[in-house]
Amino acid sequence: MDSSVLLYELNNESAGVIAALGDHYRCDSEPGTPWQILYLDSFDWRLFRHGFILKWERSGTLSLRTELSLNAMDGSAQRKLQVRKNPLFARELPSSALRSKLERIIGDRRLLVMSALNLIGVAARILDDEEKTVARIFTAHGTASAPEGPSHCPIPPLVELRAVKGYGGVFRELKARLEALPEAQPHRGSLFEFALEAVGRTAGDYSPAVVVQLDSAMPVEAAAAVILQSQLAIVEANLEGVQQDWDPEFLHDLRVAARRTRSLLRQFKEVLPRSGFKRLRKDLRWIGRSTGPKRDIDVYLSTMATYDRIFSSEIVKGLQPLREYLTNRQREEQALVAAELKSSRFRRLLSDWKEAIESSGRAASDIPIAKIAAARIIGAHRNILDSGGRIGDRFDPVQMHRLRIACKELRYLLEFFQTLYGPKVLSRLIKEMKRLQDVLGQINDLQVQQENLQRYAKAMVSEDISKTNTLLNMGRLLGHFETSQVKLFPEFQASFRSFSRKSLHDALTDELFHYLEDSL
Amino acid sequence: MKVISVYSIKGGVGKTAAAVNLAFLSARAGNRTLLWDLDPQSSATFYLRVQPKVKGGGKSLIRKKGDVSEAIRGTDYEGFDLLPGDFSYRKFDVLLSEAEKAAKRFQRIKRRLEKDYDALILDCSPGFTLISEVLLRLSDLILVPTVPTPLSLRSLEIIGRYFQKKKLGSQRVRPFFSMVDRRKSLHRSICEQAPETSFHFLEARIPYSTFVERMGVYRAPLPTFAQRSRPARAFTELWTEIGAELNL
Repeated sequence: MDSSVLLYELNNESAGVIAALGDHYRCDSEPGTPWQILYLDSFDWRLFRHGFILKWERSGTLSLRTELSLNAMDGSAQRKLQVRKNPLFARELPSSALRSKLERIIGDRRLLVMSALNLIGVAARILDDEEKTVARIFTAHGTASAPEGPSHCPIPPLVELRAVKGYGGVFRELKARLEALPEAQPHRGSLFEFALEAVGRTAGDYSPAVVVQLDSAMPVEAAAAVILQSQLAIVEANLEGVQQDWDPEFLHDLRVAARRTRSLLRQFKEVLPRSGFKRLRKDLRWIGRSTGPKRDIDVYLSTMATYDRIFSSEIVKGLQPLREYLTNRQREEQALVAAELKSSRFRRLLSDWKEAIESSGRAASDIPIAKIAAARIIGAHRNILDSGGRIGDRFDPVQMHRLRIACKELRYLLEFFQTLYGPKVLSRLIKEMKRLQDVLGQINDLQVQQENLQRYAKAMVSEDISKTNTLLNMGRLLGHFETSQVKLFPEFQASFRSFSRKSLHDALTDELFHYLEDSL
Repeated sequence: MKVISVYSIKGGVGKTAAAVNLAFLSARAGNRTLLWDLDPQSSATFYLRVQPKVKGGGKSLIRKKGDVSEAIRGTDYEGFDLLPGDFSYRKFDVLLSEAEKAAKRFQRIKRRLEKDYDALILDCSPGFTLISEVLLRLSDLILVPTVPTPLSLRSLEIIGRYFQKKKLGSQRVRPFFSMVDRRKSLHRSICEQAPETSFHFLEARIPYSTFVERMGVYRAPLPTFAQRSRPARAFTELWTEIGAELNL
């Protein structure tokens, strides 16, 4: 936290504070100063996780100041830009060091308002004999709001004291005077934390990663309830963002949570209570399928943004009708997704999900989770070895797709249960898995792009919106995808060889085998 | 961090006004900016209402274990700090009699400031001194305010010869016309004919104006009390050219 800025909450009106200090210092104050602060970050707090806070401010009356600033939390760096509106994307900003920095961290992610403070108060400068500013004080009251949280909830009056470099003595004096006032209580955090607290949030409160704490002796149903709850929380956190289409990653995270849950239910179907689970699995499959086309188009359009670097400007220009077609389709698919998420079937899915959590929590078998999870991990690992072994030296997209699905099953199991076992072996396995999944993912993306491109071409021809030139360029794209796919095959073979080596298999079996014993 | 020296061998050419206004505009553009008032007269320090005093004098800044950041003062403007002037700076040349030693000390100061600032603007003292030579070598851009008179152009020629002799790299030197009085035909004709010099003149021209003189009355950068005035607009144009050249 920046030690040159202190925050105090007041238990009554803030006006008296400046008056109380005015007896001791020369002050230049501007009363009735409106101050709006928006704290911005990507949906998954990428800036915060990289140690930055991005805020857009509008303040003043006679001379309105609007400014976007990116501050390192340790105070080591700061970038500013004068922009009239808060940006929705980094790419909207003029070329600048701030824009480059933002693009490096959040890429094309949308900048969401995590919390907004609407304040009005007195901005005062504490002056020395030369009428030079030696400290700044802002006293204010107002409201806080967030798009997903409470709108315009009142906040207690507050005082912010800011040091001016080189005048530490005055700052310390003011601090002591403020702390002597009975109505001022030091706030333990910064204005950023204060703003988030006011809307019931904390920085970094959302992560799409599986964060569950399981105990190895926990009954399997209780562990399943914990995981189901964590995935439901991810779905619920992303619903509004998907419906409003704030950022494609909301839909991505929702789909991943649904897929993980399906995988869990499939893996544990023999040990979990039967009632209601079948319908939930079916509905999870439905939500995956009905949101798939929108996700495919999101990915396609984001890939098209990189074509400038790969293809000649002539080809990129020739693909413009495809881009327009996909942009229109994206809007249509978004409307369908939003409608599905408001449908009675989706409401039923959520209610079944909650019921599944409750019924799992109620059931109490004596099977410890570490035992069953170990068996499933070993089984999923074997599946990958069998599946990959069938591929051999021939590039076969169908077999590779099967292998990719098998890898996902193991990946989800490891995400859920890795904390139950010794980290040494599992972390080696996860490292190898990631490498294998990366190359399989690239091959699969290219496959999906080829299939979709053929589908889009047919649709564009039937809707009479394609030109010969566009179709020719789409044909060039198909060729590029196919060649790129084949080029990746040797990399796949190398990563699969590394993943399937005997030493890793033996280490995994040794690590997990004793959990299979009944003695646990 | 980009280092910009505002330099002239002549006094009274609007050097300090340019340094203060450009530093203010740099900070307003979002750059963490430090202005170092190296002129022993400390006029920039006066403009910014700061005491013209560095604890321990200039010696404390350049000594081997000195921490320059302790002497820095925040100004009235966020993102704009000042390393105040001090009368003892006139002894820099005596304290650092060898060029190599001086270069090392100032390099160290530059390195120390690099993590805290995006722009360091130096209001250099007039004349040819060992210190100015060292600082000019450290600079990414050297701005030379030039009054459109034959004498000022002659000074520019002398600077050119000095740069050539000392191998200082004249491509970093950017003169600009300062204190341009449109009522004077001599000023008009010099500005309109491209001066014969090896330096590339910046486009912006700072007009002669009482607003600039009033900086000493208001003790503040020009854009804060006369934002729409002609000289304030000219300084903004000047900063836009500099910012674009240095990617600031």
